[in-house]
Parts: sequence; structure tokens; C-alpha cells
Amino acid sequence: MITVNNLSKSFGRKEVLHSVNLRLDAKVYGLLGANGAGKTTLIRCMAGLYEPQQGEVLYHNEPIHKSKSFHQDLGYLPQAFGMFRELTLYEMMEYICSLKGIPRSKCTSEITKALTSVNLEDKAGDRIKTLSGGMVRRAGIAQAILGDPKVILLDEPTAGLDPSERARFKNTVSELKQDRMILISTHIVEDVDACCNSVIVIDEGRVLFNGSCEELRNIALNKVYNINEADSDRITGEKFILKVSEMEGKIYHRILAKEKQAYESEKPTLEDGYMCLVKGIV
Amino acid sequence: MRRLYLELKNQRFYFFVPPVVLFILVPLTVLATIKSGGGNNFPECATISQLFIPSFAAWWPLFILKEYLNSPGRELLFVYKSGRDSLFSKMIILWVFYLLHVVIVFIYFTSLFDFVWFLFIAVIIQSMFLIALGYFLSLLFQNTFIPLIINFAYSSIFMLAVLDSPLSIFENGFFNNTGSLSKSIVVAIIASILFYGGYQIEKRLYND
Amino acid sequence: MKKLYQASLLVFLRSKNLSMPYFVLLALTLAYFGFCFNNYLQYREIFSTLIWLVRPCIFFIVFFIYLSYELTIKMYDHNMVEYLTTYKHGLWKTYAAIIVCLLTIIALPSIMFFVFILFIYCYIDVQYLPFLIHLMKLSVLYFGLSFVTGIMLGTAMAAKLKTKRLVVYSLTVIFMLLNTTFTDVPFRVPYLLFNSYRTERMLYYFKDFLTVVPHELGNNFSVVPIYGFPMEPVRWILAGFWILFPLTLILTECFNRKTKKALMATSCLIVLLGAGLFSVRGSVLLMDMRVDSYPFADPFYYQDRPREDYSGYEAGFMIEEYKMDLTISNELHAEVEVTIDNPDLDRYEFTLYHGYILKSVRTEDGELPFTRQGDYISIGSLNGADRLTFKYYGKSPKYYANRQAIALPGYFAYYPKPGRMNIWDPERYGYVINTSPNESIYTVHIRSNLEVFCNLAGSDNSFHGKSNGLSLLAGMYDEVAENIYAEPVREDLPQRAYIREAEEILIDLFHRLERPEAILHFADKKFFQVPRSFTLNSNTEHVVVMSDHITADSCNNGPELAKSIMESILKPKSSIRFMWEYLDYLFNRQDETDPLFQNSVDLNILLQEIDELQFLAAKYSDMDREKYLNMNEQERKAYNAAQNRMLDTNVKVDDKAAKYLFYESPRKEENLRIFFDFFTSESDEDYLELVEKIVREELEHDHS
Repeated sequence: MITVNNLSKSFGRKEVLHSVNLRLDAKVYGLLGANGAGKTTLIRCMAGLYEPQQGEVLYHNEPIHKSKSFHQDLGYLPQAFGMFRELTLYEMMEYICSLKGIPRSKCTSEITKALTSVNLEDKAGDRIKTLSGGMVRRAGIAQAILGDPKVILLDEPTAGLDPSERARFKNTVSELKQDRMILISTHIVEDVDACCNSVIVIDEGRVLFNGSCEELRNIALNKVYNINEADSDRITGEKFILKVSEMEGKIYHRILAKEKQAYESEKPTLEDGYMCLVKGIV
Repeated sequence: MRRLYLELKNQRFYFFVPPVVLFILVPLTVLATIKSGGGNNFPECATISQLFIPSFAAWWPLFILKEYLNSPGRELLFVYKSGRDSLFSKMIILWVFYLLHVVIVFIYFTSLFDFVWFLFIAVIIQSMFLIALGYFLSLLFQNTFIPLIINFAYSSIFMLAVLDSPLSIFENGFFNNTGSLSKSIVVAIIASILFYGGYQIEKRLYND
Repeated sequence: MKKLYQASLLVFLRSKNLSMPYFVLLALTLAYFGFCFNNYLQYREIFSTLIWLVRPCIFFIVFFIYLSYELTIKMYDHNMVEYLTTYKHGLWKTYAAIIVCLLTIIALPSIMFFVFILFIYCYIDVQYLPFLIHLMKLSVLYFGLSFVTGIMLGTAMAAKLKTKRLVVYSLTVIFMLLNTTFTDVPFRVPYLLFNSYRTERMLYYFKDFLTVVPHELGNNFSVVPIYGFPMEPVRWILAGFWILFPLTLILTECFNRKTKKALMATSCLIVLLGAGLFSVRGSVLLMDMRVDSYPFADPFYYQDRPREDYSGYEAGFMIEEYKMDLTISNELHAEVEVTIDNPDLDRYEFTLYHGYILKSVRTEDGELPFTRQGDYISIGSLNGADRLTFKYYGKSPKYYANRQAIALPGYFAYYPKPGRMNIWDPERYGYVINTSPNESIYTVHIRSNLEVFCNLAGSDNSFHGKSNGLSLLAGMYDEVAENIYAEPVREDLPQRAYIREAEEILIDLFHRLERPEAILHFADKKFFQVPRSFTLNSNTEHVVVMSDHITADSCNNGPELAKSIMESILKPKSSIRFMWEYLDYLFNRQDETDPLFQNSVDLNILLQEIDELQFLAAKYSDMDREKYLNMNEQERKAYNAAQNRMLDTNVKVDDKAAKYLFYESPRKEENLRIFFDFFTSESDEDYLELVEKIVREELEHDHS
């Protein structure tokens, strides 16, 4: 569906993306990376907002800026999202319908569908300025899915959402994922674990991993150890303390170790796999 | 004071607009007027002083108010604002700061004209009025663009088009006796009322 | 698109900081209309009322900059641009909706102004179509396009400068001040302090380019009815520029890649085109304080140039016939063929105002070399040819000729006049009335969008006839009565009865002065009322009587016209003030309530004062600007004091001498006659010497 070929992007002297190559099909992808890793730049390049210095983004094998259907098929939620505070949510959705070229006859049903999926149907008549930050974020997700887009790019969609709304967001993604390519950029690994079929890990502008969640988890297989603080120093070789926790008055370290240790390894999570990649413990 | 210093520093290039007007534009225009009039034209120079000096008095105050009313970080500014650090006190300090600049200009004027202090009094009261008007309108409209337009529109209308209107704060005449300051007391009272009105809005909006 | 427009309008209406001031402005506008209408009822001066209407225009524009900036910036304040860009033409559609919404917002005040102007037109009941068209154009340019400029600038600033409010505020303030006379004093500094005429010109060039309200706030010059408000083609070009240029800037924000580059190129092209067209704007009316302006250009130009004395000068030839082919577009383009009566001279001198650039001088045999020195053209021998063709173009700051109006009086050298003559007389502070004593035959074809009125017979801008000067007038100008041409919008229309009365008064006067040979017959001549502003910088143009027509700045009543005509006949010599006093007594118009009339004049004191005046005048006779600048402080003070003393004494002497000679003296009729001869002669005698002589004679006569 979308192919990213040899994509590089710089801002001044700083190269943010280095020859990124991706092929994204009708699946839900999680784009994982630390702050400043280049996630937003990659998404903006894919949305056609940035012109890359090198390489191209293809939609159905056609460069996106030449594709006639790309903009109609695209749903995008930026990292910073806002709306005219003076309009009601429904009016704003109508405004976006009009911009997206959704026929007037379909507008009402589309808006209702989108607002229901983000649990904002009862707020349709409220002015944007009366909505909370989380509601505005959900309204952002609603605008992205308006008009049934085939490609949905969501840049940190769950930022500012409470746990129940995050759960709801996962359901929304599940409902939407049929025949669509959804790319969710986030640094919250649990979100990816819950919603995505595939994961792309990006660090310092380079793609470190592109595969299924299971494959990412497997990277950390036999490398995760949950041990007592006192035993922590006995770990040999390259290691990384992922988490420090307290249980029954004792302090435990969750450690990623490159070499096989004398302790029993833990079942790895997606986060373990991700951290192994990022910290070079592979 | 340190905070006000940083706020003025934050204006960067724009901070220098009033000093450029006061220390370059006003002296040059006054000299040019003296040259064109053969030396006996203090009233014309007084008109120039009233046209340029008060209208730029509200420049710094409005540009600082802009940070409080229109900048993305405005919430933060109010969170860290202490009680004695009110916008009102900033306005007064900025007026005094501007006044110090005007004093330098008038010290220079004393070398050109025999008696300038009535004009000085008129000009600083007019400056106070325009700062008070800017402060009041900014808080009323929650915007500094309109007060800035009104500030220069007011000076232009009453100094260029309608010179002898009762609505004008500007004085005509020779500025050689207290009679030259016929409007100044009323202007000072109105300025105080505007400051008071502005302060009440400020308290209601940000302190309660 | 309708939805987007509606939503933008809703955003505007629901934003209190936008809609509230807007509705307050509408209410204030209505109140202001009331004020303007009241002004008309009080003074019955339509142009004065219109000036009041135009004055706040710049504040409307700046207010619309505010509205458009604040409305557009909401997109950026709320981080909407990023996702709007991902929709197909999303940002473009959003901008389009905002601009259409803003156009709706400005439409209301524009329509209000339009309706009010229409109402005023109907109320004054002038029924003059060109004036109605002028008013409609005024509505479109001043209250339509200028408002559109405001919204385009505001939107473009939001698009390009985004949330950099300090820049936006500063640019708006600069724009506002440049559209008022706020800049007049600082812009004159380079010239007044550093004598840098070029810098002043550059500053005003920049100011003019940014001027969207040509009759700016603070401009105290009146609007002349023949011209109306400045609306030359360049004003429309500028209005177009200030709409299109910001529009291209906005569009560059809406598109990517090639379209963006194409728009950037278009933007640059528009700037070049705008600046280029602005540079060749030609003859425009500049009513302000600059050195190039209508009131000051010529006085300044001639101030520092040595004035030649051409009394007794003879050109050595006359022009028998003029064939003129004039094109009046943005300025005058002329091809003038002259037939001279004496082709055998070695050298020919012509006078043509320095503002006209001479391209070539030709005879039938080809081009002739010529030299141009200010107003003068020198040509060598014509090799027997008697016809010369001058090709030139250009303008005068005062005697304009463009697509809006034409005011070219026959006494001004806008076409080559034989011999050398002065254009400006610094002593009288006025233009020299250069009319030939002999008539020439004129054949004139004018290409102009205006209907031109001429002293010669003809139609469709082609004229033929005999005269000693060719006057051309056009604009809001018409034949208001038979052979009387004037501005129909002016309240004081000339009447033939006044002209006849003036002639009768003058005939009686010349008989009284026993000078019947000086009698003028002008009652049946064509009468052209010229703009009142002609006398703004000139004391010589109230009335000019030419062989077949008269030009006058007004004709309110017979006695006034007669006095003006007499004034035009007299040469003031060294004292224009004394001449005016003479005229007052001659026409019995002296002010007898003046304190001077409480006592009779003491002739001995008068003679003492004349002596003192002559002494002071002799003392500083060789004074010039350079010497003044080289004086030290003390010398300068002494000189200034002496000048003040001279001025005071001169006024006293003039008043007393005139009162005695023409009012108290038993020989007052003879004195009037003597001074009539003095003022009409070519004599160089100082009037004070003559006054002194007569007074002494009378004193001696009394003693004896």
C-alpha cells in the first residue's frame, strides 16, 4: 500500500532520517522510538507534509504528490492538534467533511460514526473551547477517521488520554483495521502491544526493526532476568537495568543481559524486545 | 525588577524603537524644524514633541502585555506572578523608565529653547495617559493589537487632523506659563481612572 | 465551500475580540456619517465633507488588518495547519473561506460608505455625471479596494509571519503612519538638515508606494473640484498590487513544490511590475510638504537659480503658427510644429518648462542639434527652414495633464514659446504670465480619455484658431454657460453679468485715471475658471486676460473681478504690498475702521521712516544666503533684528504713504494716476523714491 524508498530528510545540517526503507500493507503498525528518534518526521514525510531530500514515498506504487487518490485516502492526526475553539464539535466535523470532500448526504452519518467511535457523540453540540484536552485529542482521532480513509497516520494518538479512553482507542483501532493501513507513532509500548500487528522501531533516524510483535519480543528471549538487587552485580557481560521494583520489602532489578546468565530468564515483553534493540543488546 | 528587565530584553530589536525615536528622530526633527523656521518656532517643536514622544510611550508596556495576553506561555507567566509583581506596577515602572528617557531629551532641549519644562510636564502626563489607555484597553479586549492601533490612531487624529478638539489630550500654545497646561490636570485624572479600571480588571481576571 | 465559509463567519461572529469591535466600528461609522452630513449642512462644501469622510479611511484599513490577522492566526494558534495541509487543497480551501468571509465583513462598511456617498450626491442635487462617476470611483478605490488591501495584508502577515506578533504589530504601525502625515516632518529631515534632496525623494518614493489612501490623514490641502480626489491610474495599479502581492504570498503557503515555486516567481514578477509601473507614474498630484510637491516644487527649484533679467530682450523672431499633436496619458507627450517668421537667424532661443524632456528638434531636412539649459532651448541656424518640430514629454508638478484632469493655461510654457522668458518671479512669488503680444495660429489635436476644453474653436479634442496662448482644461469641467467654462461642482459658478460689470467698472476707472488707451475689452471673451489652488503658490494668477480668453480662479462678483484684472495689469516692482494698498484705494475698498484712520498722517515722520528704511536696505543690500551662513552668532542676531525692524517699518511706511497719497492728499487723483503710470511702466525706479519725491513736493507746496 505504502512504500518508503530510501527516504532521507535533513533540517539544516542535522540529518533526521537516514535512508529509510519500509513497505506497509493493510495492517496496523506501531512506530516505536525514543523522543527525537525521527518518528514525527517520518510520519510527516509519509503524509506529504515534508519534502524529503532523498528518496520517495509511494502510494500504490505512485509517488504521493502525484497520486490522485492519496489525499482522499489519508487520515492524519498530528502530534499537536487543535480546532477552531469558537465552533461546536459537530460544526468542526462538518468543516472537516467539507475539506475532505465528503458528500453532504453522507456527512451526518460519517460524523456520527466517527464521534461514536471516540465516545464523543454526546459532546457534538458543545463548543470546542469547553472540551477537555483529552476530548480534543479524541476529536482529533475522529477527524482522522472521517470519510473512511484507507491510510491512517496517527502521531501519538493516546497522549493525554485516560486509561479507559486508551482502552477505547484500542477498540476503535480494532474496528477500523479491516483493509486499512494504520500507522501509530508512539513511545508507549503497551499501546503498540495492544493494537498493532507489526512494529517498526526507529532510532536516530534509522529503522532498527520492522516485523511482528512476536518477532520483537523474541529478540529479548533468554535475555530478561528479574533478580534481587544484591545479585545484580553478578550479571556478566553487557547489561541494562530496565526497571527497579520493590516486592515484599525486597528490591528487584529487571535486567537485560546480552549473555546467558546463571539465573532463570523471564518471558520477554514487547518493551523488553524494544529496549534490547535500542540498547544494542542483541 | 529582574523579571521586568528580562521581559524588556525579550523584546530584542523592538526594545530599541522608543530610544531611537526619542534620541534620534525627535532631536533631528526638532533641529530640522528650527532650521526651516529660522529659530523662532518653539510652538512647532512642541507640536513635534507631543506627536512623537507620548505616542511611543505605550510601546514597551503594550509589547510586554502582549506576552501576558497573546503568547503561548501566558499561563506560566501568571502562575509565577507574585502579588507585588502586578501588571499595574509594571505599567508604572515602565512609565517612570520612559520618563527618564524623556528627561534626557528635554535636557538637550534646554540647549535649544529658553524654557521647556511646561512642555515636559505636558508630555509626561500625555505619556502616562496613553500607557493607562493601552493598559486598560488591553485587559478589556484581552488583546494588545487593538490598543496599539488606538494609541497611534489617537495621536494621529488629534495631532494631525483635529488639532483643537476638546477630546484631545494635547496642548497648543507657547508653553511659557501654567496656562499652557490647561488640559494636563484633567488628563492626569483620566489616566488615573484608566489605571484604576485596568487594575480592577486585572485583579478580577488573574488574582481572584 | 459554503460550509467552510459559514464556519469561518461563525468563528468570526463568536470571537468576541473580533465581532464586538467590528459592530462598535459599524455603529461609530453611522455616527460619523451623521457628523459628515452635518458638516455639509453647515458649510455646503461637498469636497470638504468628502475629505472628512476619507480621513479615517486608514484606520478602517488597519482595523481590517487586525481582524484578518486575528481570524487567520487562529489556524496557527490552534495547530490546525498541519492536518489541514493533508487534505486535498485543504489549506487553500481554508484560506479561501477565510478571505471570502473577510470580504463579507468588509462589504458591509463598504456598502455603507457607498450608500452614504450616493445619498450625499442626490442631496446636493448637482446632476453632473462625471462627478457621480468620480464618487463611484472614490467609493471603489478608497472604501472598497483599500479595505480589501487591509484584509489581504492581514491575512498575508498571518500566513507568512505566523505568530510573530511583534513583527506584525510593528509593520502595521509603520503602514499606518506612512498613510498619514505623521511622516512629513521626519521625511523632510534629510533635505532640511543635510540638504539631501535625493534621500527625501527616496523616502517619499517608498511612502508613496505604500500609500493606499492617497488623500492621507493630516493632509490639510483642499481637494480641487476639477481634479477631485487623486485617482490616477497609478493609484489603481497600487491598489491592485497591494491585493495581488499579498495574495501570492498567501498562496505560497498553500501549495508545495512546483506550484509554490511558480507562485514565488509570480510574486517577484508582481513586485517588479508594480515598482516598474509605479516608477513611470508620470503626472500625479502631490499635495504635501515635499520638495517635489505641487505647492513647493517650482518655488524651490527657482529659489537657488539666478534670475535673468529679460526686460528689453527680443527673441528676434515670432511664431506664426503652431501645429500640435498632444497625447495626454500618464503625462503630456507632445509633437509641436512651429512656423517662424524669420528663418535667417544664426541662433534661436525657445522657452519650454524644464519638466518637459525634449527628445528631438527637427526640420524637414532632419534633426537639429540643440542645447537645453533649464527652461531654455538653444538651436543654431535653421539653414533656411522655417518649420521646426519639437518632440517632448514630461510633466509639471502644478500644471498637471494626466488621465484624471488637465490644467494647462496658455501663459505657461508647456509648449515652446519664442525667446527666453522667466517662468517664475521670486519677487512676486508667482508664475510669470508669459503671453505673446502677437497672436499665432494654432491647430491642435489631443488624444485623451477626457473631453478637453480649449479657448479655440473646435470639437472632439481638435481645435483651430488664433490666439496669444493656448489654454487646455479637462476633468470635472464643463461649459456652464455660453462661453463660460468652469467646474460644475463648485458653488461659485462664474456669470457673464459679472464679467460685463467688471469691464464697465474698469472702463470708468481708466477714464477717471485719464488713461482711455489702457481700456480693455474682455466682456465677450471666453472665460475659463481655473482651480483655486492655482493661487496656492502664486500671486500672479488670479486673473489673466489673453487675446481671446480669460482665465481666473474665481468670478464671484464684478467689482472683485475688476480689481483682480487691474492687479494683473500692474507690475508690482519692489513692493507688492504697496501695490495692494494702491488697489484698495483705487477701488475705494480701504478699511476705515483701521486705527490708522483715527489721525492724519504726519508727513515728517513718514519721511524719517522712509530714510531709515532706505538706510537699512542699503546696509544689507549685498546680503545673500552664503554670507548669512558665514555670520557669527552676534552678527546674525543683529541682522535678524535689523530685518525685523525693516519689516515693521516697511509695513508702517506702506500704510501711511498709501493712506496719505491716495486718501488724504488734496492731489490724490493725480497721485493715483502717477502711480498707475509707475505700476504699468518698465521703469526700475524704487517706489519709495517716488513716494518720497511726491511727499516732499506736497510738503513744499504746503509751505509755499
